[in-house]
Amino acid sequence: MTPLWTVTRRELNEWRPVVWITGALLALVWSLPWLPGVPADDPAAVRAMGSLLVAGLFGLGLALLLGANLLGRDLAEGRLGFYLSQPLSAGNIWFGKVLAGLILLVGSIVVLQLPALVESAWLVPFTGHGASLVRNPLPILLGAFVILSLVLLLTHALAVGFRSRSAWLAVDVAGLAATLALLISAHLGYLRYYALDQRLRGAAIWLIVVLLAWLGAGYLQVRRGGGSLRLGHRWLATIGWTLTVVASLGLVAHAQWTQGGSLHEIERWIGAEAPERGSWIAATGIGPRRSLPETHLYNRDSGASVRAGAISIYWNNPVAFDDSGTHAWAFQRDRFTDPYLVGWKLDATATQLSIPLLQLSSEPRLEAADGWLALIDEPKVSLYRTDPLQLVGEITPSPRAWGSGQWRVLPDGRVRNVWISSDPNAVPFLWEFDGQQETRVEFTAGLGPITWHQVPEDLEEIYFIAGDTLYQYQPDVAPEPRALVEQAAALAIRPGFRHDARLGVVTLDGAPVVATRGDGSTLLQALSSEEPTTLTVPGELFWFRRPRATHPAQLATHDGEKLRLFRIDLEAGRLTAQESAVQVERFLWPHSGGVFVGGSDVAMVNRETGELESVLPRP
Amino acid sequence: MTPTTRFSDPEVALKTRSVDVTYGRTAVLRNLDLTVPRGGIYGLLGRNGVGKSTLVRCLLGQEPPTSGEVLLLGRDPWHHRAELMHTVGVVPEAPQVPPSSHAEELLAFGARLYPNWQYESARRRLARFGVPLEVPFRRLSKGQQKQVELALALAQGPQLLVLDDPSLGLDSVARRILYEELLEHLADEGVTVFLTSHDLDAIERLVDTVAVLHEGRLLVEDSLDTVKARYRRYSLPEGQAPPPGTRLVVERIGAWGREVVVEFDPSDSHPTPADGGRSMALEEIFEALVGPAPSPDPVEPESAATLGGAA
Repeated sequence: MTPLWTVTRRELNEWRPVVWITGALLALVWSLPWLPGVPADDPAAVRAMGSLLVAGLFGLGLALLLGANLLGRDLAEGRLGFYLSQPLSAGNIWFGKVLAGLILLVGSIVVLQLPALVESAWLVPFTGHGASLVRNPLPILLGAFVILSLVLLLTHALAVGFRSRSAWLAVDVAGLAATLALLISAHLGYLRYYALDQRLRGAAIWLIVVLLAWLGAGYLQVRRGGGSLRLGHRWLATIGWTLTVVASLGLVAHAQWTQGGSLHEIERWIGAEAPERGSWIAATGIGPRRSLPETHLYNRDSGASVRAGAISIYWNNPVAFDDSGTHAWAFQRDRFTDPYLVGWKLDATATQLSIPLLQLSSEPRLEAADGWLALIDEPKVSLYRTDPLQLVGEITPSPRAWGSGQWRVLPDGRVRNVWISSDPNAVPFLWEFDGQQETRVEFTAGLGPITWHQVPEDLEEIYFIAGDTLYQYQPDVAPEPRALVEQAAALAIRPGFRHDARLGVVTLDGAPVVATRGDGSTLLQALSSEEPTTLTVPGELFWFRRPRATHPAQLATHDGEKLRLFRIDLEAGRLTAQESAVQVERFLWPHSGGVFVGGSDVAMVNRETGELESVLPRP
Repeated sequence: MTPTTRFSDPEVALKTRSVDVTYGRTAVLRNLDLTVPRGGIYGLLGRNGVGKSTLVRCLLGQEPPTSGEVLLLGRDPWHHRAELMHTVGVVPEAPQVPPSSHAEELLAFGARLYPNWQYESARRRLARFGVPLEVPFRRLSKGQQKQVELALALAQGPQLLVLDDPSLGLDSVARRILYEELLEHLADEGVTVFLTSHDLDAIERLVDTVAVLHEGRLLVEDSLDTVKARYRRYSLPEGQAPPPGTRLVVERIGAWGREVVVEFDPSDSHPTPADGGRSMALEEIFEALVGPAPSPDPVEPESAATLGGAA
């Protein structure tokens, strides 16, 4: 028998009562379902959860108790001399005692956990909350073991410090404070990202390093301090806290590194959006250092980029650009605070604006136009002039505005909300606020229930079917909706046909065009010209852009492998295919502003030339 | 050759050279030179708090000296403690045995660590003194506890036995039994014993060599006979000088007249003149050297309890 095991065995003898207490707790766990007040409909679940709770609490208490008495009590009572006057090395004494402590910890947790786990995982399969934990308990048991081991060693360090009553206790206090501060600092960024689980690997490495540090420090305490509590404490505190603080600094540095990746390190693009004009775009990707989405502002002309933080762009376009692309606005989210507004002036370097902290709810929205910013935060709508940010007016609209309403700030600064419910009996309305007054128009009044509708993002024209008639409503052109087609059912407009909320009915050269999808193709039918024009699109319509002064009308199809762009010439009744220089390897999904994102590719249609161009560095 | 091996001597069991131990700004041991020859009983005397237990811890490698060198059986105990403890038995001043352990467990524990563990002999010894084997250590009387510790120290068959005030707290019967047992064992085995004690009567009957530690320094270290021959007490009239060739150690004037204690030159091989002086008991010599009243003890800043032993 090795000397180390001899020490361990003697220490286990010393802690015999732990075995009896563990047995008593096990009996308590198994009798839980029969205790008054405990739900008895699923005894296996009660035992599984009960054993988890009891094992956790008892493990923690035992780690604290063992740690406080690991060596400190022997030293304080002068009993370590018993071991020191035997042929036992410092390593035998220290590691023998620690091993005994760990055996007691593991043993008691396993004894308390194993029967209930076996029962709930195999004998009486448990499917309730925490079932996955029950079926695969090894990670959490290992984690609990490492954490409890560290608790044991840190409690030992603090117990020795308090018992030595020397000035070196200041090192313990400072070391503990510094470590806690560094741990908080290392994790705050991840908490802000709502991505603490991403830290598991780093935290596990830190735990193991610190565990080894304190094991080593404890050995040096006995080796260099012998039977002297103060001398040993000096070694323990100096080595233990130095290594712990260094490891914590490493964790902070790693956190800074993982959270500080540049745009050029992005491995996969998951979202992007662009304003109507200007060269800045916002793109979200996932970097190599961690699997967290991060958003960057990128200037397509100069190649400059600015890290915008943990704003993820999927489909809700949280970055609001004004039309000219001179300002970008977004919300930063923090686990500890409400969302707050951030903004950038999109000059050469995208300077971040200094914005007073606004009290916002958890789901605010932003809409921007040149010189205007609307902050839509239920139940309040606030309109701001930008540059500098200045409140113009605030209003609390009708509760009906919230929910299915769509919002936009018009170029003249009006905040517009179009509300159409899926309930055909609810009367849709258009609501506007100019900073002073609100107006509300029920534009379908008298037309009957709506069975289909389409509201484009710009809220400039609204299409809906009431009865069997397809209507077009252009609030800035005419006060009443205009009937386009009397027998709309013949158009075979599919209610769900709206890939990006723009398609279904579009206006080309002032003429409404209905897009209908068939099997593998799409039919475009101009409705109001004297000579009805019909264009067949080879493939499924995927994206459409209305003509503006600066760019032509275009559409895109995607067959799952290749994105194809077409120019639309309705007058000539012709689609012209555009050969793209961008070779994409995977599916590209359209995003706001004519940006297509597909993992390694972010492409955008050039508004001047109409060509598809790659706009972000390919990973 | 390292400094520690320069002054090693196979005839010496324990040796220190220029050992200092300081705690903060308090010096506990000062420039201490000590030599314990092999094969005899060495008694170290000193009042409470003079650094006896600190010295014992240094000698056993449980605490490093601030400066100076220590040799235990020819090796540095601070660096070779574990190996040296195979041949050193220790009975500490305050009990160090885990309180919940009983003697049987402790004997089994020792048997796993020492190749020549005299298990049966230790059991017999404990039985002879009526020490129950299955009672936790904390429930034994002080005398029984001391017997358990002595049995453990002797069961390994030590070359050196270090006894730090073993009679402390024992009644006179227990003390007598302890020393008789010790002498009996030593007669059989020829073990070197390093003994610290307040029990000057017992020391005088037991030791071959005696040393007096006071205020961190060794005042005397010599064979008991030499020490007793070196110091004599004289009753002298006022104004009369002590005998020539002597050094005045202490002078007292009381109701009975003037009395002086003198030290003869230790280099003189026949120091004892027939001049009316009288020989002194060890207790008297000790009192003359360190004073009748307790001197202000240098307080060891690290108390006995915190250092693994008792001062």
